[in-house]
Amino acid sequence: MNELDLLEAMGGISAEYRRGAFEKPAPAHRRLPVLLGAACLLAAVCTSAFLLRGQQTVQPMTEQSREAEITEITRPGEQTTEFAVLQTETTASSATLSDTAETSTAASSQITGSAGTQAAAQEPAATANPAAVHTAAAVPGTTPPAQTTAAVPAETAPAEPAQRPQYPEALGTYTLPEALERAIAEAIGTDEYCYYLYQELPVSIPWKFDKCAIITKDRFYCILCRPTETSYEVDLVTSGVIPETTVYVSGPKTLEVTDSAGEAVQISLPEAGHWSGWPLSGCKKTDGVTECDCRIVWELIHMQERPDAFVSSVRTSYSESPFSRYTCEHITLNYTPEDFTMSRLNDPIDVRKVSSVSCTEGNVTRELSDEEITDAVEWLNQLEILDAEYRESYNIIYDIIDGTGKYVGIQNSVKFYFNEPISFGIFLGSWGGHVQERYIKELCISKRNDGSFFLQLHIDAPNRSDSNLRWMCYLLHNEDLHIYQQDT
Amino acid sequence: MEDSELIALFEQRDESAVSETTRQYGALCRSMAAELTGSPQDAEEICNDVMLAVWNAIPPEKPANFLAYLAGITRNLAMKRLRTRYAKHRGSGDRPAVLDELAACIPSGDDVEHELNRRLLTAAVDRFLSALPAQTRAVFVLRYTYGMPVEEIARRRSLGVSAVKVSLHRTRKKLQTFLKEEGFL
Repeated sequence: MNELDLLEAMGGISAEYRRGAFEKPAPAHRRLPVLLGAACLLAAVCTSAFLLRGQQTVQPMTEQSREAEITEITRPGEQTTEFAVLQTETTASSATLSDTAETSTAASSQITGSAGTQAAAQEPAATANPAAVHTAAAVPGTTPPAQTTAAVPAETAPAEPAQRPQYPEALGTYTLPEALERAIAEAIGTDEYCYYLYQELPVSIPWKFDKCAIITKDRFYCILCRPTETSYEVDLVTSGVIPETTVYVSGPKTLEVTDSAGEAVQISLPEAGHWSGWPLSGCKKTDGVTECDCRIVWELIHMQERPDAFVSSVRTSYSESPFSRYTCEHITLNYTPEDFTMSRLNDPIDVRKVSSVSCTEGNVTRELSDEEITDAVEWLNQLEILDAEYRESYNIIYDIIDGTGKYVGIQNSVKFYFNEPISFGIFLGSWGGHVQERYIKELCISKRNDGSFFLQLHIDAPNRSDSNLRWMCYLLHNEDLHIYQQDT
Repeated sequence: MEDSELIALFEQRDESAVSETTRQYGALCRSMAAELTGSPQDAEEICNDVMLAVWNAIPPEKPANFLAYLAGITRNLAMKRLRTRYAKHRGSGDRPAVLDELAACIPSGDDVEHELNRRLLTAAVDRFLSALPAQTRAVFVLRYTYGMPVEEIARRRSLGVSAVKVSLHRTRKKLQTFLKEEGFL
């Protein structure tokens, strides 16, 4: 018998108790009279007992009844809470009692959302870097999200739109880039842009993906779609030149493209498995709070035939993040707590165990000073409920996972051999989300000594073998797109 | 969106039911799963699986309490994951907080007839809970049946965080005493 058994036993308890746990407790203003009544009743009983003392023998309370009475009537913490809730409901102002004030603050925090959101709301509005801001008008008929989100403070940001479009099912062999470009040419400027793309690309319901990322032999395309009520909206279209035909996508990869002013722009490929988030611009977004360092929008029409292809860069920064103050586009924390168990999402980062923080802007990486690290960690620790997602977005958790990841169990592996250069793209997804990086052991395309090319995708997902993980891989070979999909 | 509206979306096979449910309860689902499994990444997958399970179950099912229904599925999937991991890593120290907290109630040991004792234990825990005041019981169940974070319990039950912690602590002590009296310890 062990504590896991006890935890199991807690799952087998009466359905009534399980249901009751989710029933709302009576409001405080309804419970207060009950408590007052109970207190009056107790007082009356005590008074009667006192008056009757000497006239008759009062039976001593049994241990059980005394305990019940203590539990029911003299719960100091819960009584305090009653008043605290009342205070919150009636005056919504500061309370004088220390316990009450503490509880009131906690309740308020929970009601209005995360402390991180509150903190963001109190901070000055988002400030844009004027030197880097251009009008993003790359794709007609679309609304670049950077402008939308930058203009809306975190506390008034509209509800997140649905992130999972309903993609039509289409599997087979397709021709690229003709099919892709035809779809783009037909759809560009319309809200159905992505719809066409998804008609062309193989995504089957309900295996959903936020976006498609296609890498050809010398170019990448990235399209992020967002569903509207009637169709899809293009959030971002990005493309660029991949400098090498040999690309390893097993970690962050920086690509360099040229903007309309002729200046080189660094674009970071996300880590493998993260392609369902914001696309290749290095822009990040988490629930309710926007954190976007850099966004690059490219028009996607025959890049090679359009040397004047428009590119605009929008850079926004948010003052609540010390990283934007330091103009970091990417940060990495070297965080090595000795007792890190991944068990407590809300545990603060121990600044003493952060050995270094690197800040990358463009192609310049510098180490933050101790003071800056303190600021950065303090800010991260304020994020509370959202911190896990924030930490993911800043690669903290993933860095740790990478350092300790263990891969055991069933492995799915696929290998393809070609005698000439090929291009590839990949969709990885599961129900409602992406495949986590920890499952991707290897994803690379390389040129071998004999001149042939080799692509290997190695997914090792021991926890997902019986669930809903799928992978698809498509290869561009002689202008044909070959689709490979894991059997269900 | 009200729970009944969410259920209606599922019944209409409207896929926005999934995104709406995720938006509304995804964070809570992840928190509970993470508390039970100790892994945010497992939690993310579990909650994806929860959505799939709900999608497959409704209809025909029509839960009376949608949140309790989600929490129940979350717990079951989390326990499944936890059992697998616990079997592999027992004694490694890689354990979620809820197990550490409950460890004080029950000593480690594998020499008892496991299955029978588990059933008896469930019945005993049920009896123990029946003797608790409703509020105390709800707090204990939310924490140790569903792995709900203390702060979330406090919010849902209109209690202070410290009150919840004190309640849990006292109830654990009572449970320990009860289990001793019942001969489990």
